[in-house]
Amino acid sequence: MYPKAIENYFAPTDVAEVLTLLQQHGEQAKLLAGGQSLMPLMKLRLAEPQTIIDLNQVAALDDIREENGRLHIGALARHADVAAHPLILHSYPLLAAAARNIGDPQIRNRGTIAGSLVHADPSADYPPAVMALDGQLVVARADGGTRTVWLDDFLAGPLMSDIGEDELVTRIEIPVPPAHSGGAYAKRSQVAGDFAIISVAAHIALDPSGVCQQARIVVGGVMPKPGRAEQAASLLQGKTLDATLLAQAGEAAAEEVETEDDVRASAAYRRQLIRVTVPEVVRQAGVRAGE
Amino acid sequence: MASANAWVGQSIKRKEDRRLLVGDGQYLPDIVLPRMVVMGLVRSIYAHAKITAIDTTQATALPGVRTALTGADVKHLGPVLSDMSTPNLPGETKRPLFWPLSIDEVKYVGDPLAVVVARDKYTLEDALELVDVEYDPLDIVLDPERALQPDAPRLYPDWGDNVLYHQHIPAGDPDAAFAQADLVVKERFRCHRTGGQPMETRGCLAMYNPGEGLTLWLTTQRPHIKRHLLAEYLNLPHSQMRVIMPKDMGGAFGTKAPLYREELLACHLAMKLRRPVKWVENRQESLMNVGQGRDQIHELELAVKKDGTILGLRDRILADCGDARTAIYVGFAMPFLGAMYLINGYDIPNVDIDLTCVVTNKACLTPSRAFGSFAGRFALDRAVELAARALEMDPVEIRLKNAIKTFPHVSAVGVHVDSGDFPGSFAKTCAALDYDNFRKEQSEAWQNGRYLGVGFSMGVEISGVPSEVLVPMERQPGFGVATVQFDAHGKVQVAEGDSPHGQGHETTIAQVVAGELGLSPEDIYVTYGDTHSGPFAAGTIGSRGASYTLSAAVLAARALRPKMANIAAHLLHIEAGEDDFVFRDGHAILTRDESQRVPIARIAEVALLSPTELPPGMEAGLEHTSHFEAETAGMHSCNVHAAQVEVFPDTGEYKIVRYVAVDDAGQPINPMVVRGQIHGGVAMGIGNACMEEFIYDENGQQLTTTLLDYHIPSSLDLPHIETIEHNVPSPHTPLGSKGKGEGTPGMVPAAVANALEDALQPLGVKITELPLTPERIWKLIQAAKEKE
Ligand SMILES: Cc1cc2nc3c(=O)[nH]c(=O)nc-3n(C[C@H](O)[C@H](O)[C@H](O)COP(=O)(O)OP(=O)(O)OC[C@H]3O[C@@H](n4cnc5c(N)ncnc54)[C@H](O)[C@@H]3O)c2cc1C
Repeated sequence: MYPKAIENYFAPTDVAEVLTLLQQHGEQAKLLAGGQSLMPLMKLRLAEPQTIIDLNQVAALDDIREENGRLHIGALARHADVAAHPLILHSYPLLAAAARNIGDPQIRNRGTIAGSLVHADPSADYPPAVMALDGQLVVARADGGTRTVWLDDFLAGPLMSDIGEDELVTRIEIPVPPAHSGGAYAKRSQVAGDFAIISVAAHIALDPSGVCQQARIVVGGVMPKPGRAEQAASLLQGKTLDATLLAQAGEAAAEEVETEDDVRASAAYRRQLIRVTVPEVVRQAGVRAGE
Repeated sequence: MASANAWVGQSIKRKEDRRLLVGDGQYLPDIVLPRMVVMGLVRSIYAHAKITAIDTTQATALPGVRTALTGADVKHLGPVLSDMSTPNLPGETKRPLFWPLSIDEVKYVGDPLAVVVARDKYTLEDALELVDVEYDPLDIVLDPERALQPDAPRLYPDWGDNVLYHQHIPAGDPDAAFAQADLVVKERFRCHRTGGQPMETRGCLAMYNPGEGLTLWLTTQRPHIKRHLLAEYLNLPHSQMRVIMPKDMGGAFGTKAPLYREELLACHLAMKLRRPVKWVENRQESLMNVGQGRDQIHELELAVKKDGTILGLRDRILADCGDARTAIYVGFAMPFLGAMYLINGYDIPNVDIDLTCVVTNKACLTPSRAFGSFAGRFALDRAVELAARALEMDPVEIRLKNAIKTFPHVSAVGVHVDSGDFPGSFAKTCAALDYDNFRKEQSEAWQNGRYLGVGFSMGVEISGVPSEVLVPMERQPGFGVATVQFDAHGKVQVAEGDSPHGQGHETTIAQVVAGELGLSPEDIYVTYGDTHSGPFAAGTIGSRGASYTLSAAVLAARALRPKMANIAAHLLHIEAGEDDFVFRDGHAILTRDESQRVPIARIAEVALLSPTELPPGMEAGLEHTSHFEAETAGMHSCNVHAAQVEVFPDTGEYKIVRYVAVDDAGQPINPMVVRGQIHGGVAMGIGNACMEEFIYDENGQQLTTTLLDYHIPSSLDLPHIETIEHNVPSPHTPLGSKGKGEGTPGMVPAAVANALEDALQPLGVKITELPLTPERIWKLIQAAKEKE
């Protein structure tokens, strides 16, 4: 439980410096954000970086604001800050709920949104939530370029994401939701603070008469990464969200999202939890959309 | 038993808490010695394999590495188990032959096979990775029933089978009982592998010099017993062997009672290297090696009359003891005591219990709070529930019908129960639950598609184990011992032989001694843990604190009073003895004339600083050591717990809406401390019963080696625990007090399982296995639906 020796430790203060260091140390280096995933891996010696580039001194990387119709969340925004941010609580309650569900207070005080998304645990809370909000990552490259990537594409598999050795996630961007829309998130775990057995994020847009215009449902806690319940979502399109419809959506989601057995639960039980949780979460999202 | 002790029954704040809350606790890892080196283990990655080669050359070549040893290097120390470190129980016992490191063969994942010593932990872990081990995997056996089959792989080939221990416990005439029964309930119950996982893992620090010998700081519940066994193993005279439990220890729950192989290695290495050697177990090692308890299968039958009277019981118990290579308990002492306590609070005159303990390629069972009886308590209280259901009898009624009614009671298998009151405890439980109304609420809920249930369990918990039982079982005494000693400033040091680690002895012992001597708890300081300065005792195990150790402190304090009175009389120039004085408000006060008084600090001053003022011929000093032994073969606490649940059948999830614990502490010394013990015990019981499980895959790899996988509940996962006192003072202790630390978790699994099954009555679910995970409950509901 003690990491391998680290040769170099850097604590750059701006993004340009981070990128230069990445260029110099590339494959030997690891970025350190909240350390809540990296440090356990290092202690178990599953990660043995020679160089640590500590992001915690980098200025202005934890901003949360709306700009040009998009919500910007700085890469270094801590789970606790996201969970308590007035703008997020008001307009993106689904994201606040996901952040609130992560681990325990210590972990939420340190852990960051980019760290969680890069770490790409299939049972983590942020990925389904950010997917349901159609979130993107803005990635800066050492050569000076930037790219924007959908989270769906960024998540490659269990603990695998599309991040290059010379790249830094600088922020997460989420389109400002339209009027009459709302989201919800729920997680089922064995004990408080544990990773999800399954989790469900849903975002619903209604027309003024309450008919569902658009629905996005994402299920976490499944392999190799959170899955979109497309059929379940399309069932809702153009309809009023009544109990029968919600149950059908749950049924559809349980059928279409692939589940597996692991120490936490069997595939069959996961399916059942999806069947039960999807209607609960979609109902809550619908209520919020109608408010 | 009315007590005149002014501090008894007061919920004063714990003396321990200040230092613990502000971070001033003194734990083993805080101790640092000059020239200290650290020790780590290379552990098997196979559940069963021949070791074909071990190469430590690369590891020892690493700068900063002091030495690396393999099994061959420690064989000369001799086998770990001796007569003294093996339980001496009736029945057929086999003794595993093993050394501090495994030689030639490993038997579970985590089995230590080499040890490395380095200057720091970072170098140590680098070096551990460099030890090259070649294995030749062998067939494994993980299932205890498979272990019994003649063609099963063997852990100890010379045994001829995998049976570690077998005992048959018959009493009365069970055949006749079953012949007369109107109803026979027969069920197979399984309790999984779970137990204790203390916040602070195991650890030790060994220091040696030929002049003073060996000093071992050790996370232990029993410093004196460890010293005894270590001296024997290392061939050192007691004068050269000192064990010190650090001031604070982050819990033990039974796991720090055995003697472990790592401790022997640290001692050996300290002697060999002439440097202090420290070992601190990491969490993975802890989850791989200790705290694994329970793990039993019960095939239990009850012979019941139409009116609910239980005439007899038969039980075939199979315990999976793992590799059985842990000294003192050897994996089978727990199931043994569990079998002896199976019938527990029930008065069942005819029994036939057959216990078989087998070895498998898993970690050895270690003691865990509720010592061996968790599984049996689950099985019996479940079976009683099934009998009640079959007879359409109320679960409280059937329990009252069969509960021990008159005290003292000797159970069919010879367990002495001194005092208790089950009807009173049930009455309080039912009142707290508003039980009659609850049944109405329950049927209404069922009609509305909601599933509410209530479940009960009852128990007789050990309140210390007397010498009469402990000497034959573990070759150890059961007495409690304390030295009460005034210092020259009139403060009192109480030295005990146990080593508390969360039980609150510093507070409760201070309270009783203060009360006996007319002082305040602030005037009393309790010391423990060092075999060179405290009296010899068996350690903090089996709820001995408030029953035995505290009673010894009371007796020792009382023994000082005649001398205190004589000194006071002498100072007052009067003729008076003990009966003429009361000790109150820091004074010896003459009862017939309260203006005649001597400060107790003055008495101590005369006894210690100014002995020329003593009465002529009186010996200086003011101290006494008492050994307390109860005049009975067993003291117990009788308790009733109830859980009220709501189950959500779609997912099998459930909420423990209420948890009511009606507990008997005899005479609580500090009711808040008692409540703390019950809260902790119920929390552990809920964790063990509902959430925690040590899981091995088909290759014997443990899948639960981090706390992300082994799910210990936090306060967020637990219900509010309602504690209600129903105290029946023990007639055998000076204050009537009873122990409260050990037994509580054993109350929980049946209470919760009975409640869940009760809630699901309309669906016809039967619960026979633990843990009570939502998935298990959901599957049972699915199976019941399919049957329909
Ligand atoms: C006990 C425990 C319980 C937990 N429970 C939960 C839970 O219930 N739900 C949940 O979702 N998570 C849980 N987590 C994980 C937690 O959310 C982590 O905080 C998160 O996964 C990682 O964020 P971090 O900032 O700590 O990243 P770090 O650990 O610092 O880094 C993680 C990875 O991301 C990379 N990285 C970090 N920032 C950037 C960046 N800006 N650009 C590019 N790469 C970057 C790092 O190099 C590293 O590879 C738990 C963790 C622990 C220890």
